[in-house]
Amino acid sequence: MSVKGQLSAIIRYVLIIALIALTYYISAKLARFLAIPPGFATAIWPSAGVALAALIYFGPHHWPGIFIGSFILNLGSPSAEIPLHIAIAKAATLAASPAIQGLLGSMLICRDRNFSNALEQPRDIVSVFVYGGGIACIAGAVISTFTLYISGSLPGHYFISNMMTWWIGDLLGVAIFAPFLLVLSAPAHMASFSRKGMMSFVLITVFMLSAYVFFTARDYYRQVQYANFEKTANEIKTNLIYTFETYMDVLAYTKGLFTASDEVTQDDFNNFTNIIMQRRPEIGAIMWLPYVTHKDRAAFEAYQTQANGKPFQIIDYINTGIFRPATARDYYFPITYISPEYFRAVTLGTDTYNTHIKDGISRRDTINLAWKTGQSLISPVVTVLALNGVAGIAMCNPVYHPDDLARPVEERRLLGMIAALLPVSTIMNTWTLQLHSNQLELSVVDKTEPDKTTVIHDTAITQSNPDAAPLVRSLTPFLKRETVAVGGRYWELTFSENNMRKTAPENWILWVILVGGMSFTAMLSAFLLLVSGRTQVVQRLVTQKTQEVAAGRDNLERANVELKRQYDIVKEKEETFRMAMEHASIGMALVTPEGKFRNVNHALSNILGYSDEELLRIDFQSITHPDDLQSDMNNVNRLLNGEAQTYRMQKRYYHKKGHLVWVLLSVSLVRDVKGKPLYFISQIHDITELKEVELERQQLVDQLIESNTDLEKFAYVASHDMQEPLRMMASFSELLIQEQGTKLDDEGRQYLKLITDSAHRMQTMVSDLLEYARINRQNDHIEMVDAEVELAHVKENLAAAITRSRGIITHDQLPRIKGNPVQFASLLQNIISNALKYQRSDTQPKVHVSAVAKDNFWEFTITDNGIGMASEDLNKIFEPFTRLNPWQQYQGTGLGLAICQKIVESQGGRIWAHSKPGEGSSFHFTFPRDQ
Amino acid sequence: MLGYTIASKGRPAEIMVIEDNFGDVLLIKKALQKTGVVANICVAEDGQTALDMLMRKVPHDCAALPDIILLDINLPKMSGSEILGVIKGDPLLRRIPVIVMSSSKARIDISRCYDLHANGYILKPSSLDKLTETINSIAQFWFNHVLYIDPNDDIPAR
Repeated sequence: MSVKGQLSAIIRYVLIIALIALTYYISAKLARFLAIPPGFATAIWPSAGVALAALIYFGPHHWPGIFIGSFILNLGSPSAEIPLHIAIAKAATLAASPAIQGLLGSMLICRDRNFSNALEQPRDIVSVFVYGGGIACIAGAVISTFTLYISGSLPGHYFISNMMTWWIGDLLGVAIFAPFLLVLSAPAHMASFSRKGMMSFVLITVFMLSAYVFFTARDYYRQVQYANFEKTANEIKTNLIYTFETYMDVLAYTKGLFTASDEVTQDDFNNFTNIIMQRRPEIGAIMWLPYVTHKDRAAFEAYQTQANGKPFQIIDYINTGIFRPATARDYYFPITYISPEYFRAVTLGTDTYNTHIKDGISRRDTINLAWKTGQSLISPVVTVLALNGVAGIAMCNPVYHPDDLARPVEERRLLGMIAALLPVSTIMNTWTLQLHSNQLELSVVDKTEPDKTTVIHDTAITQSNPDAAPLVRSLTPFLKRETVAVGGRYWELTFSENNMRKTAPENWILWVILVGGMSFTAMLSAFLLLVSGRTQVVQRLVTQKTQEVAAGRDNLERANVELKRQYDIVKEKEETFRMAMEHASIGMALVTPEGKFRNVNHALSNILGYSDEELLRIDFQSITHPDDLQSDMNNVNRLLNGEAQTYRMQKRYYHKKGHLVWVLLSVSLVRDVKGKPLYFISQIHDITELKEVELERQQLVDQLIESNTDLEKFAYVASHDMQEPLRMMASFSELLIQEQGTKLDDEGRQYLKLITDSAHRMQTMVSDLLEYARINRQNDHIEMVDAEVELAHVKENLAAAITRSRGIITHDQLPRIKGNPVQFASLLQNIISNALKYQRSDTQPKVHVSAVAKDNFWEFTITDNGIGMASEDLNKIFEPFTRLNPWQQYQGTGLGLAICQKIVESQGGRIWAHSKPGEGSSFHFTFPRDQ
Repeated sequence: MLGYTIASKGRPAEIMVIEDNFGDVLLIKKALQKTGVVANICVAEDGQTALDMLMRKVPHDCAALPDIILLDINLPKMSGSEILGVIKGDPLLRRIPVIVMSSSKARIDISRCYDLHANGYILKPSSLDKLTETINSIAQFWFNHVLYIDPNDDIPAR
């Protein structure tokens, strides 16, 4: 920042501080109108609100403005007896309190970065009330009250009440004025004019109303108080006058003593006056001052010397304890008799007509006036030298010769004066109690001589009242001033209220009225802020939205057109879908997640026998066969849980007529964009007929398997058990030939030989049949079989036949195959043994075994050079018990190739043969490859 | 105790034939005659009788325990394999060699017998000559070569 910029920033800062100080000062001055008399703290202190608002608006660092404003304010009202430096210190301390209070409050509030002057949010409003009003003001009240207490301005017993008053005053000041000022200070786009206006109008109105009620109440109480005050003052005044008249009556009675007899002795005087003095102890002294002319002076002194029994002289009192014989004058009024008795020694002979002492002229004038008027008179305030110079009032009443009483005053012969001395303090103190019990002060000023007024007494000055000199005395105290005539004097009596009135009950009522009204104002303010803040937020939103709406209207119209187009497309699609569904040949339904039918088509109605309307009233559960329901529900739940996209199952429905309908059900689930399931799409295909056919087929298959099994079992058992008798037949016919053959002729032996051969042949057939029957049963022994190894076994088994026929068996490299080794060997052996067997006797049998891989199986080929077969016989050779040659020529059971076929086919293979009669045959079969 | 061969004992071999078919029994006897082997044949016609005899539950004329048992697999009531199971489950009897005679070549029949600890499995020969040959083989092997522990030594006193 440039120097110029810094300078302008400083100037700006100073100006703002000055502005804040001025505002604070003015608002504080105005606030004093709301003070409750006499009070230390005002009941409401708007300046606190002004300070807070200013520091929030300008920033907390402008706190010196508050300090300066408060400092000037407090400095303005020091009393004269306080030294300036003390006053400055006190004012500074007192000024620190609102500065700290404002700083604390504004910092607490501005700590929230979202805080806005517009006070729209309840949070902001509460923040101002709690931080600014509650917390900060407590700090201010505590500091201020401590300052007052420590400086001695505040009596200890007012500490708590003052602090409370201070705090509540500041709190209300903040609560009413700070939010109001903040809203007013907010820029127009934040706080609308109408809101400001409404706030101003309502708040000012209510504030004024509260203030008006307060002022009215205050005036009313002032009037009531003043009436009381005046009444009390009048009573006291009347009593005062009456009392002085009583004193003058005392002189009159005493005068009677002298008018009633010629000779009054000292004892007579004392006896009479002692009674009076006892009743009126405030009377300082009662004296008899005889009238002595200068020519009678010597005779008088002589007479008195004789009467008193000691020398008597008329003397002039110079000063306390200093006196001399009276200087010569025309006449004298010496103190001759005086009561009480103890004054005699000091004052006897003192001439009260002596003008050379202080106040002497006043006394002489009073005596002269009494003499000339014949009235009882009161003197101005005089210094009573005999009483150590205390202030006193003298009263005198002239005593004339009894014979002259009918004459005019100026013709009467004067005998002397009856006088009384009234010490002012003693007299007035008798009134102090009564005054103070009525919270009054009284000053009495002698105004008889216009040019010379004398303060006779002032209770406010003489008493030592600790509550004197109130800090804030905003209102003129009650005052009643009246001049009364007493004993020829004109006394101005001034009654005023004293400081005790501050705790009068009326003041607390006023406080309640003011604080109540202002509290109401504050609450109203808070309420208005809340409501108008909310309204403003809403209004602004509405405005914003309205603009957005206006701006978006074109878009909306465009969107509408687009929407209409989309709608038409959807509509068309929907129609297509509806038609497709309606006319679908399979049953279709939309089903709710709970299972209710939502849409159904005719095909479904036809399948289930219900009308469309009837279906839409039920759910699928109610027409599902109970055995299928659980698995269907499981499937439904899998779809709902997202574990599957679709499912398909065969299930049974109950037709409306009660019979079961088998269906193939395919279901998928449609979800909305949020993934919530909407409905199932179910496709229902009637498979009742299919199912029946399938069931029928399955039954047939089962039957077939059963009968096959029975057959095999039969074949096995039969062939096994048939072995036994055959073996017996063979063995015993053999034994018969061996042991008994000699007993038979050749023919008989040939018969036995036939029996034996037949039995052996039958044994072979049964054995083959057994093997044939067993083939399926041995399929569980599938393993890897090396064809070359098996071929070697076969060659060993056929060794005798090979030797006999001189046959040659050759082979290519043979593979490993998958199968039953015994069966595979049997397969090879059957074919090879056939090849060796069906051979012309003059030919050397040649057999060759080979295998080639084809796809996933091996094709084995076994060729021979045997007798061959006619092509029409080729398709018969694999049937059981097929024989092409006479048994006598080529022995065989007719089961060998049947066994071969069964072995090959049991492994999923195929067997076939090629042959030409006389040229040999080739047998082919396939076997699974080693995968 | 040292083992012995039956031939070395100088007594007839004791053979138990468990066979219901009289013809077979007769054939076996004939075959033995033809081989010239001196043997006492003890015949039991069914499994229960055989076991009763072996366990001496019934009085009989045969030796207390045979040297060898020829067992037909196809018997009424108890089957041959059941009898085999009982014999081979008995701690005393299981030492006696049992040769199963069957007309079945089926693998399952053969393996079942060996699983039950048969000492041999032979096909019943289809002719007398073959039977004689077979019996001769058996006698040669079991009576001349195989060493025995005398089972009677271990019969508990009663």
